[in-house]
Amino acid sequence: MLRSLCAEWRKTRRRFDGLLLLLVAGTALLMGVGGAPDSLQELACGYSAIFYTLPIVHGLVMPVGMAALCSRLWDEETRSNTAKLLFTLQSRGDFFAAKTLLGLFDLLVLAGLEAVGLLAMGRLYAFTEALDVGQLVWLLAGGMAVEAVLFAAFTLLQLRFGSPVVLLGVGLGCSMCGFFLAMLADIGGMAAPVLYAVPFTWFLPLSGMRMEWDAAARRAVYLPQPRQYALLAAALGLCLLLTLWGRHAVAGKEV
Amino acid sequence: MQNVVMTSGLCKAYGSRTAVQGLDLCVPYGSVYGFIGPNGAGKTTTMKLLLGLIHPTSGSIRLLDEELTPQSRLKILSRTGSLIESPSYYAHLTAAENLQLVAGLKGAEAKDVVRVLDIVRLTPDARRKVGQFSLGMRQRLGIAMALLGWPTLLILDEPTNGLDPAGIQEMRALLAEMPRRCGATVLISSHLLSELEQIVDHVGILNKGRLLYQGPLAGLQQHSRGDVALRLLHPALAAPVLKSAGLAGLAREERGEVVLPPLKEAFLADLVGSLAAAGAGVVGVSCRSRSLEEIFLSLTKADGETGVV
Repeated sequence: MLRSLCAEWRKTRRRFDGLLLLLVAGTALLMGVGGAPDSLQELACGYSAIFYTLPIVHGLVMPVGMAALCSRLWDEETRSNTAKLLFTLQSRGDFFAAKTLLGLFDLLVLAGLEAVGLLAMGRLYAFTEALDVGQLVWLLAGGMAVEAVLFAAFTLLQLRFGSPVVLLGVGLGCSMCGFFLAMLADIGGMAAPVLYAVPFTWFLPLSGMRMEWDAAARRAVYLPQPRQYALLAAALGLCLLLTLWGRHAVAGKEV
Repeated sequence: MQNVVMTSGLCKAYGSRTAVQGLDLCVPYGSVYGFIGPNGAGKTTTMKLLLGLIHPTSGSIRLLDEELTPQSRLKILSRTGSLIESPSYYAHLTAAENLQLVAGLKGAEAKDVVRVLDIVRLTPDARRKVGQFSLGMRQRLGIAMALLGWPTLLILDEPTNGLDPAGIQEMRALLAEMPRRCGATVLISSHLLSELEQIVDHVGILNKGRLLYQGPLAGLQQHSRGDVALRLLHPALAAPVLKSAGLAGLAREERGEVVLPPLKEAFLADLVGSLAAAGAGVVGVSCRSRSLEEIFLSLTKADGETGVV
């Protein structure tokens, strides 16, 4: 297993996965933060606003981001036809596990980059709101769980079709669909039940914040919402199921 | 002699199409075994079966004195090197990095990378990205990967595919010296017998998934004798003798000689005696040797008609 992991690590050389992660995290943060806060009120709820908008942006960015990440990890094996060599050198289980662990490591790095970026934004704009570490951890955990589901699903697609074009196409479709549903859910709770039926939109129900419009003060008010631990567990369960399915597909694959 | 590869009744079917049927392969230790057959004969399928890349429909495989099972597979394959169809490589990595990656998975020492680079004459290009390599260089890199970790058995599937004549010559020289330099048994496939006849000592001829001949290369030539040419003083007197021997319709005349199809030695001896007794004046008997290519073609063409070697 360790050998397989080392081999996967060696393959990352000159593959610039880090740049891709930086691009995805940067895009999500910039879209999530939007413009610079221009009032004391906005500075007073700076972190809360990001905790609320970031899951919506995740719904748009992450399907494409995960498709790109997954295709970088798997497509080189398809393009170079390396399976017939690798499967004689290591067990298929180890090969798949190493790829999956590297993917999870990438997700951790992505979450880390987002956390660092978020703190940097807070410093840059001098948010007056104190950072709620619990909310930050929940945001990252919920995001990672859904990203892991997406990653596992795209792995299956890659194993089935062996084409990055299919992955990116599906990723783009998921992004559009996710963002559309998130917007509908945002407008008076429309389509909210649908969000639960579509796993790649679980970013929103897993969000720790909700927004209400204070018409009198003409400003948005951000309020913590109950954390949906059951949904988080469901996301992790689904991810596990898809991963086992992928492992089974690799184990039975004739090359 | 012990066999490094032994299969028994090996079959592989894809739906209703049978790619390999009832294959009993025996590759002796220390040999360079040429696995020859036309395109689609089942060579690659057999090699993939030997490496556990595909699962047999029925039959068993013994490699390096051990039964190949899902449990024993990796242990056995740690002592083999392979190149199937086309070389596998990561284009964004250098040749040395590719080899280090494979060496790491094989558990080979890092210095082994230097050794195999030297064998395949890629040392000057070790730090170049493989994406910039020519096809021949990639093939050599594939061979180098197979050689990592001092394998006891090398399984190479058409390693000269896509190479130009100079590249084929170079690859042939490289493979011919493998047993001496690395002490490995080599199982190598090709659809051209002429390509391998200079380097192999054993051959297996495969067609439509069935083994038509297996054994030493010399045996193949001996087993498949060529036409017999008789130089006679009085050819006209030979006609009744040939007719009584059942060869009347098979004999033909070429440049003053009576040419007969391949005959068994005892039958030929009797025939020569009868011709001499009839006064035909036998002044010369020669067996025309057929090239291996002709033998291969006659074997693969005969398959399905008579099956006679």
